Amino acid sequence: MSVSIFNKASGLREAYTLFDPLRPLEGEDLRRFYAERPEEASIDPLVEELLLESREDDKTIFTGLRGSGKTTELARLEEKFSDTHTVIRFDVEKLLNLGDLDYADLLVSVGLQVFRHAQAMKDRPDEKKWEALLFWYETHILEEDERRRFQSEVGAELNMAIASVSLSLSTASPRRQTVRAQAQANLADLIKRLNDLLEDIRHKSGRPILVIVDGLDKVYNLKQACDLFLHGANALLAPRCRVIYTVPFALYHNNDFQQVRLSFSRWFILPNIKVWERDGSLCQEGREALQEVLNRRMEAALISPEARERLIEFSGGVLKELVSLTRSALMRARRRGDQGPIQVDDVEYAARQVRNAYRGLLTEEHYRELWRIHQGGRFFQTPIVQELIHNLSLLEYNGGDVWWAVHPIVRPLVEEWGNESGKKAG
Amino acid sequence: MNRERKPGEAPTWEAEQALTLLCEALDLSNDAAIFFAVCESEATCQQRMREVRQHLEAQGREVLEMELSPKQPDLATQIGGRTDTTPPLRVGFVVMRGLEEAGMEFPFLPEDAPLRRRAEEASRVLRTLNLERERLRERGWPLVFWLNRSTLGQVIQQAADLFAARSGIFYLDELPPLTEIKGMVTLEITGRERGHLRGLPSEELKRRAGLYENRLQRERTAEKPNLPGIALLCQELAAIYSALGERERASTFQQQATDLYRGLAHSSPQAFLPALAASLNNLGAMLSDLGRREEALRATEEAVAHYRDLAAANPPAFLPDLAMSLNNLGAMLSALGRREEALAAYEEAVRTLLPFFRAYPQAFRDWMQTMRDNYLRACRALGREPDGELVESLRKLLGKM
Repeated sequence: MSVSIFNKASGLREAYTLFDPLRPLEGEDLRRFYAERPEEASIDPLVEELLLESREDDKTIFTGLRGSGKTTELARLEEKFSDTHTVIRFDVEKLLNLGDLDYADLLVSVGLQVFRHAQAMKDRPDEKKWEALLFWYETHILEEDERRRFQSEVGAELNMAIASVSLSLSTASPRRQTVRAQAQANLADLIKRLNDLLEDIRHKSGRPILVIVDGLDKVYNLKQACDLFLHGANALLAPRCRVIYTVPFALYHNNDFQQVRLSFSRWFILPNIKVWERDGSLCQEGREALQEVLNRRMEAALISPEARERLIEFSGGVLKELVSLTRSALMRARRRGDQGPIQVDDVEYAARQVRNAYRGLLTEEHYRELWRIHQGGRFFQTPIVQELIHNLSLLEYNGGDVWWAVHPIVRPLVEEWGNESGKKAG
Repeated sequence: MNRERKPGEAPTWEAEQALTLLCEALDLSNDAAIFFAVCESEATCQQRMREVRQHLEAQGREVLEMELSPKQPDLATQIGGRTDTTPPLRVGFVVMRGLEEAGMEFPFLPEDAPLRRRAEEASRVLRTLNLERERLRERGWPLVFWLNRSTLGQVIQQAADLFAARSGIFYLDELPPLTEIKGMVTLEITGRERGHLRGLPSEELKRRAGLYENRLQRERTAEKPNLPGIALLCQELAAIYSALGERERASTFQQQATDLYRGLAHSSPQAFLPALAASLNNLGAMLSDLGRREEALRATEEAVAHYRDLAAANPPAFLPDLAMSLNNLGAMLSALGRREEALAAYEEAVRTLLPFFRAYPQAFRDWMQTMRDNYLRACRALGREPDGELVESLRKLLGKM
């Protein structure tokens, strides 16, 4: 994990480094640059529920729009619970092949992460439990050189072995099919050994265990994602610890998924930050939160107040969009010198580049649906709406009241289309 | 790269500014970052890549060029296989090819139909790229994806997480506004096809669309499908939806008609080659209407080639069609900034149609006016003098009317 060297940018070159859409806030950066979300878009309700929960094996589904800040919030959740829980957070995007993911792959991966955590504990779990899990991997998954590394006391060796197994699960190698077949056939045994180790870790540490599985929201094939949770629900519910699974946002709205949802203890949608209310009036609280995101990372003098407002408006409350647009705008502003400041023109320019990209995507059907919703039409769960949510041309606001709005950058295209259609119809 | 405008100098093109911004953004990027460099034509893309590469190499940075396409689908492996030197100094150029069809769906085609396979393969490439985002980030290189507008649109849908993590989009070519191109092409191509639909109220068009779609469904599921009939229905539906302003749906039906005619022309060229050429011509216009310019050009080039063959065998029957198709080709080339070639196509169109215009002035007046205007516009764009004799004879003939 790389850490920024600046506290707050005093010039646009520094600001370029701090507004990085590829890097979620984690670790030290989280402490330095995190801006509190408005109450109704925060994870506080989830935190409260998790704290009130008496069970220690509850399972949570966590989702939200792309770019709404899920990974950052999960990193915060890890910090919040690190005093009271043993937290194991990992990103499956780095470990598994999300283009062809199976619940057995996922369980194998969870087992590896728990194993790694147990190995790093000061007060090691019972050796028998630990070896029992290792034995499962040795028997069914590991190759000779990996076996040696797994038994090593050196952390780096174990990490290499885990990386090697993960690679075999992530690439289209023949080995992946073998690993999966072995895992599926012996899953009950894996779960039993994993649960024995989890219980021992729980016993030794005196704390409940919370596993956070990030990155599952990136699974693009909704049928595959639905199958993962539908067919694999029993397996995913089986680990005897608390687990938070991320899921694709569009899946959450999928009819087939409603049945799956009921098997889990709770679900939580990270609400998008509002920049306006449903009636079109400005949402001051949301705007202030987004302003704070900018203020935390760069000196106020680097951006004009009008440009700041416009950036917030164009972001639609999507944090990653705000970061990405800011980066684009500041590159143009730098042409006037490192102190800029970023002006409205720079922001408009950045937004125009994105708008033009959407021109190449949106079809007649997309426009028709966006226009209908823009005109206040009802929201229906159709494949076309799922596409629009997926490509972010349609944004969902679900803090309290749930409603939908066309992405502010895309809105002029939709209005242009609506006006043209109106003329034709007229 | 010093591209500041000097006092008194003519305003720089927006594309020039974009090129400068891309270079500056790369100068700032010593860590992973994702940029999209948009060029419609391969030639412009190569030219722009050369310029950015020169800029980077002058700064002591190494540029590694890769291709992402159905033939080269795995970017992570291409990057992973490179010899490791000093990562922060490297920049990756990823040229994206053959991915425009990613979002297209052809449920009506058999699973092994080449078009369907191509579209699915292109989608798979982009979706895999999306999942490689984290691994690409870990390499720590800035990556510039070189692509056209259609592919960028598909990136938004199929590689949405990659797009969301972008640091900038740079449009590095100059294109006339879409509306201008549409005006140049629509009259010539769809006018004849839509003639029988002209003036029909939209309710009637919708009624017909419903009727034909039902029939199409029946024909497709018939034990022995009547392929020429299905192609005709698709063609008709394309014309109806085009008249209704539903461009995307129109182009989908036109594509279906084209695919069917292609198969039919393969087994019986004499009977179906004219239909294939006409269908390609319409498809080109519709794709151009949707801003999918490279695909539009490919379809129109193919139409021209077929009309040349047909006109060689039967000039009176097919030369006017060849002229019309050449005019469309000129418009598409012009839209892609290939002005020399556009001028040549326009001039050939005018000369091809001229004998017919002389013989049947009323029938070909509208076409000839458009072709002449396009030819003159293309001359102006290149700062060339038009052929005086040709323009004069057109002036006289048109002036008489």
